[in-house]
Amino acid sequence: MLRTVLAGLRARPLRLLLSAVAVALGVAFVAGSLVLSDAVHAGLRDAVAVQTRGVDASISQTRRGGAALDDELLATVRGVHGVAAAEGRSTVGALLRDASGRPRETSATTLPADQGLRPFDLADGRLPGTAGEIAIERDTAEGHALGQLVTVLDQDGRQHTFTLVGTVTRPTDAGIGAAALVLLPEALRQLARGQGFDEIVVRATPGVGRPRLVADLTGAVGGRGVEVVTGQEAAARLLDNTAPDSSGLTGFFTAFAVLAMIVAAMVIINSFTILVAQRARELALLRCVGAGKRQVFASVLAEAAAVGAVASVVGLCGGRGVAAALQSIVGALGGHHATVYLPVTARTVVASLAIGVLVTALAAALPARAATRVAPVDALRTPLEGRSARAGRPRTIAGLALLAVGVGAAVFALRVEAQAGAALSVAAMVALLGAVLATGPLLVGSVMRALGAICAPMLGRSARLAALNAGRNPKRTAASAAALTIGLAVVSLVTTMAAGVEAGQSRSLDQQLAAQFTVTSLLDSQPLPPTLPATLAAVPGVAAAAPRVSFSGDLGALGGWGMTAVRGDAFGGLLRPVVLSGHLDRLGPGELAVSQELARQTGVAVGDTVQAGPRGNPVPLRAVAVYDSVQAPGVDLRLAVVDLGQLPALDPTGFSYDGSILVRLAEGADPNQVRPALERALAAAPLATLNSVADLKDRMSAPLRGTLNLMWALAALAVLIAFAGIANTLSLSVLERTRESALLRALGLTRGGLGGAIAVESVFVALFGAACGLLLGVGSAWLLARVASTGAQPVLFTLPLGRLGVLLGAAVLAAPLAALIPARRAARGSLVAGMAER
Amino acid sequence: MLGNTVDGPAAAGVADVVKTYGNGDTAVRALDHVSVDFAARRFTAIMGPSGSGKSTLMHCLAGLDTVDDGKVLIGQTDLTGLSDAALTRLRRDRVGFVFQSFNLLPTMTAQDNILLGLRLAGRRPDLAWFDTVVDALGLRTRLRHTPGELSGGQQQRVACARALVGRPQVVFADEPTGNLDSRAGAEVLDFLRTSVRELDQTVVMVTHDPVAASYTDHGVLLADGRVAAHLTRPTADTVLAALTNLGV
Repeated sequence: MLRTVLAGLRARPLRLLLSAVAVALGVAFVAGSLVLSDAVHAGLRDAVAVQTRGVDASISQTRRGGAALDDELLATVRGVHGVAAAEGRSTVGALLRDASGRPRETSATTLPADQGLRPFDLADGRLPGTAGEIAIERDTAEGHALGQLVTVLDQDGRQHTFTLVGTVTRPTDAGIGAAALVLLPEALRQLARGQGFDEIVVRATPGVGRPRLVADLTGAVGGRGVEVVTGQEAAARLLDNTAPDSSGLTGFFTAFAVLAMIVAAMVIINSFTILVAQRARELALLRCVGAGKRQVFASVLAEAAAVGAVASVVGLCGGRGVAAALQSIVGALGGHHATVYLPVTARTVVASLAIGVLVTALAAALPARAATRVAPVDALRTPLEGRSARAGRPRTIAGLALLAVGVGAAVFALRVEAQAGAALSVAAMVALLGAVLATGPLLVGSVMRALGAICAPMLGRSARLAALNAGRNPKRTAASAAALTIGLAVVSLVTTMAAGVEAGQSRSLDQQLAAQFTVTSLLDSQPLPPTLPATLAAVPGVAAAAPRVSFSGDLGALGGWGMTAVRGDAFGGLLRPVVLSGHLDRLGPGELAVSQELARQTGVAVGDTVQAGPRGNPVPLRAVAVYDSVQAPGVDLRLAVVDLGQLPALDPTGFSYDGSILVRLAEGADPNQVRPALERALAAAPLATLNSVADLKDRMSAPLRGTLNLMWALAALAVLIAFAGIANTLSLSVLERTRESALLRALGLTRGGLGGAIAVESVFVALFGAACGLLLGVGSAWLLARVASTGAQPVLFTLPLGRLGVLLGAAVLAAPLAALIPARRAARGSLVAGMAER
Repeated sequence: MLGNTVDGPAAAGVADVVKTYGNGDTAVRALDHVSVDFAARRFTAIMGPSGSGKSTLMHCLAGLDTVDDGKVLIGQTDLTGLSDAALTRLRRDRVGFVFQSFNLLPTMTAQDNILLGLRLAGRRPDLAWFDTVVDALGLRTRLRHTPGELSGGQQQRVACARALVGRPQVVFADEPTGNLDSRAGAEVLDFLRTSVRELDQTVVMVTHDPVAASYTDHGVLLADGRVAAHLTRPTADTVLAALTNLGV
């Protein structure tokens, strides 16, 4: 039996090639996401290794208020036997004005005098020699020339000027946030006054063992909250503390790997179904000469496993390419060029191969079973062309049942509250997808006839032939379209949802914010100057400027919550959150407005009085309104709002953050004309930045768009697999129709006409799949938008016609490409040989 | 003229045609300097044992295959040297086909199959002629059926109708009764003869069946790629005798 399998593989390399391509693409994606998650860890390990290179021992504080890691302690450390060098290390947050003058968040670190303890290399120029000089990481330094003055803002907003004398690089910085600015310790102290070092790193003299060094150092400076560990330990701790910010990303990729594998599996099932159908006679002959059912089953399965294994190996190699591409894409989206890691672990190899082989074998099991159920004599007698798979009654029933479930779930989803509604929506989507897949074969016939009739005036007989061919085996056509349906459903769902969320954010911001500008602080922790609202209000064209700030509020028995304080008269004129109960025209002293979320969590209602603030000196606050508001930077009302005058009593520590000023222009004032005046008014406050409403919208939708772009890149792969499937089905169909094609050519169809008919057939199949996918995706997005939408944060169902058009257009354009090989094959075939076959 | 078989103007013919398959030691000369003309408005049979070259001759005549040397004529047109597009046009405008099996597109109704060639050519069917052909073949009640719903004989009659509906210069039939029982075969042959005698068509049929050959006006006997004999008004007996003379 093995011999027949091998002979079969040898005889049909081309027929199997495209199924193998689908498997390889699917596996490439799985392997790619596995490699990627390993790469994240490898990148972190490398970055930590750079950060701790040359460090034999590390001294740090174990608790706040322990002995300070100051110059005195450093001197003691340097005196310990076996210490070749010891350096104090500190990193402080700072803002660097870039070439265009905009402050950018970064951080500064100390320059170790000892070369062996520097976690960076000099790239250009020299390292700082005086407190007035600075070296900057090469990418960050872009736009600045050596010898220029650069401005750095510290955490308190004070400006410091340094001369740029050099640039530095690190072999890798995998997002552990290593500092970009390098200063002498005394210069760094200007940025963060009165602080000791974060850490003292020590290099041992040659020949001194690390355990010995640690023991000696512990003896000299240990205790009192100071701890000494080896460099290795310090690296391990750093690695533990550095949360891989890409773990979410890996999950995202894994989800797409699953999608790719599902689509690939559908393609494989379809390919093998056709292959087995074409070999029905051969298999029947095997049965006639004495092969058992089980042997036939096993031979088909073995063939699939062989194809799966070869394709998986190819896919594994391709996966490294996928991982490299994704790392570059993510790096490009993040605005830096990432070091690409391509670690291949045993886990990746085993998982990729196992998934590839198993999915292929499972996908082939169905057709293999079908093959063994055909009575041998039957298969030999019936001509192949006569047996077309017709969709049956069970399929109709299943399709209708799924449709009913889907519609029912959707109707319920619209009636229940949001959380259960979301779950029901997902169920509805899955059921509707199932319904589309189940009824696909029933619809294909009429859809193809309609497409043929519509396109016939333009494309002539090619359209009619294509429609007839696409409609002749509805199951097969529907199955090749289904892969595309799934891919496009996912993409169009996400695209439409993203558009809806963006439109919703935009509308709610327009409705809830009557201001044309906001002023925010570059540093969340740094409040804006208290006089700034008055300064801004005095600018010609400005009607009102109201400050707003976030703080951690103590609401007594209700607990501590993230709150905001706003000047009470801002409501109505500047801020118009959605009021669910009570009134919020203005907010006076002693009044409190609570969010819907807080009302739900604590049960507080309009009219209740809350004893807020410190227990010894409580402030009674009466709840006057329950609101729901949009979450935009500098506009967010958090969980509860009080009048600004109330702030000192509620937050005695005075630690407020996220301060902003809302600026409304006078009636008829042109924002473009007032803007320069506002910017001049802000010149005295270097941390203050002016944002228009359009800027806010941009900032709100930027992460959404980034995600969407990534999604498109990933979904492109699923769609690619789907097209490999269409190409595959067409190739196999063309082989099946060799005689028919020859007959058509004999009757006077030109080569071009025959190839054209196959290209049009491909377009029809792609159109069918794409239309189903788009309808499903857009319908699901409509449902989700209805369910997820709230008064304050609506999700508006909007059709991103541009993007959806691109999807449909790409599908229609890609289809003839998928048909290229099969069309050539059909047109090239010899007439005589074609008719002689079989 | 080249052949001595013509008792009227020739509808098609070959002159000194050579066709070789394969090369080197494995080369097979399927047609070895064959010259023969096929008279218009006659029913001609090309006969011969397996491997005699009769199918190759028909394929070359019909423009389905090319020759290595010599001339192939349909009417006054020399097929050798025509481009693929020109050959395609010639096939759909001037030649009709009936094959042994798989004559019809399974996806189309009988009527669509009959009109397929005309539609491919973008020609408007002559409705009166269409009716004549359909009635002569007794297909009137079967026009809306697909091939799967027709018997083998009916399918072959549909194929005959398709071959004739475009009024081609010549109809080539390749073992048209090969897959039919004797009664259905007789019907088809009867119709082919009728189409020549009453509808003024020209039919060239390849067959190895002496009974089928007995329906024709003229027989050309091939052996080993050469013309071995000509038979006028062949009967089953004369054909058998001629074949026996070849030593088959």
